[in-house]
Amino acid sequence: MKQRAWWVFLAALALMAGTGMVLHRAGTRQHLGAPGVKLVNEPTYGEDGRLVMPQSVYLPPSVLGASSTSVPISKLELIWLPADTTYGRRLYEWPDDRKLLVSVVLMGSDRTSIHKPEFCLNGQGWEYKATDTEVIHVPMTRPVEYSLPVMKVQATKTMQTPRGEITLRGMYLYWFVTNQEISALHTRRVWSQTLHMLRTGELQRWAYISLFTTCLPGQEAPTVEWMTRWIQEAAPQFQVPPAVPALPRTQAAP
Amino acid sequence: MSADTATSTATVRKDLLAEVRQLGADIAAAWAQFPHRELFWGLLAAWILLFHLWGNSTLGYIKTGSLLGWMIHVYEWSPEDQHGYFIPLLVLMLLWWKREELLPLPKAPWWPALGLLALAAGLHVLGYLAQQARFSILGFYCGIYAITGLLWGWRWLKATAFPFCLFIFCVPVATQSETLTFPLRLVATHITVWISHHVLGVPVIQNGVQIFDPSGKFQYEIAAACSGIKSLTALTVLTLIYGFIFFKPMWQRAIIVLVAVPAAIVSNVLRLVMIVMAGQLFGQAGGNYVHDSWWLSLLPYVVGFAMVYFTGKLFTPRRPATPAGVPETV
Repeated sequence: MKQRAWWVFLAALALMAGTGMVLHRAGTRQHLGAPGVKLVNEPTYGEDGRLVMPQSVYLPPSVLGASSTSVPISKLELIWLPADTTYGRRLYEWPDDRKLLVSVVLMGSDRTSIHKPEFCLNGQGWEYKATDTEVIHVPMTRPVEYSLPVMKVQATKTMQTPRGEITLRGMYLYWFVTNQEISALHTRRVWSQTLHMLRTGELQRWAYISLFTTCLPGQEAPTVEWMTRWIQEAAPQFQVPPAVPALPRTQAAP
Repeated sequence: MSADTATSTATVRKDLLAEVRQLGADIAAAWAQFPHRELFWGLLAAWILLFHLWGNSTLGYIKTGSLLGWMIHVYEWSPEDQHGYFIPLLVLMLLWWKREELLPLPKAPWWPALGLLALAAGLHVLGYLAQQARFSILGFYCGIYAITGLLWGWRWLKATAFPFCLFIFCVPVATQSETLTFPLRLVATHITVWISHHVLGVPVIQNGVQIFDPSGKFQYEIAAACSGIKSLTALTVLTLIYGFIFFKPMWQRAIIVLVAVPAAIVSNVLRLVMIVMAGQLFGQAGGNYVHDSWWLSLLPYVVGFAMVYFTGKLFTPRRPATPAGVPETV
């Protein structure tokens, strides 16, 4: 019995030693991938004026005739998101009072920077059903021709104003990008990240790009069309080529 | 302090110390009945060392490769996961509670447990390669379970399966559980606002998971920490233990465990209502006090535990009434 126990002990010890060797080898090849968006040496600030990061994700100051201002990062985001997160955030305003908030959240080595996006909408009182979400494909011509998969969420909010109750639509478009892949689906992004990590040892550095604006009921289609035009015009300026397709090189996966 | 009080305090302390010493002696005596104890310590030390040296492969955001270091980092960052610290103690307590069943079991080395150890190692390798330390935590505890089976046999593994299953609650999930916690936050906010309006007459405004007082007296965001995941986990662990110890049919156990969900919602709503009431009466500072006070935070959970307990009582067979004239047995 005693001898059997020793054999079992030695076999278990050998298994542990073998595991240690495999892990040691795997650890030496792991590294962080390159981002799929352009970074610039412009600092990002928080709501309280505190410096968040000396760099930021580049967003063009003027697109389709709009002027823009840099938007500070909210206190809540700075509490919840890891310190190595890089941001890019601008509010675009047109002379006819249209506004578009564009936000980029780029993860560092801590992957928890990027969450499932829709929760933020619900948290701010915007309501939507599963049928209010769909993947749309934005035809891009620059820097190469490809189809950009974008998730469209149409949310609704009813607000009390001094002039009575009004209903607004919140139009929310987003997608995820690395230097090698684009996806409109959070689950696909996570799955792709895991598989890529297993296959190559490289942690893909994903960025989450989102656009938000509001409109009156009935104005949804022209609003999305206008947001799409913004993407076609601006995305080639801040998205690193060839951050195009996922699997087939000419067609990005949704 | 009077001389009498001092004497009685000293006596209590002495008794307590004697109890602790006795418990220590009992544990040592029970442990002495286990064969291959030195091999167990050796394997356990090697297993812990493996997870300390190559425990997580996250790229630098935690300045240690240790899995235990990663767990401490996550537990400290996310208070909703801090029950992970206490689960090992709970498992040991359950093993001690079952000692009369476990000690007489025949214990001998059992080769097939090596397969379980290989599975645990494989789980860790997968977690390490994919940078998913949560898989590694499962592998870590699964490996400890395998080591015990390797030295003490399958009967031991079978008898201790339930306590060891509780290690699953060591896996931090708070930051990954938005799909579950967000609806809980919304439900808790809706119910709280309804009660505030229709029962308490407090006219609060809801905006998603935010609650406002129209006059600007107070404002709260039902944060992830208030989603109920903490109470849900605590209640699930306790109901699991309660269900498995006191009930045999699986359907009864399942119902007991399922009651944890409404019990967690009720507890959270009560807590939120207390915060709103305090905010209404004493302003933002009053609400903050209730929110931050640990003892006031615990109060609503008594109701949750009571719900689980009384559900269990429904399944406990009532004693038949003693027929007249038949003496009761004592």
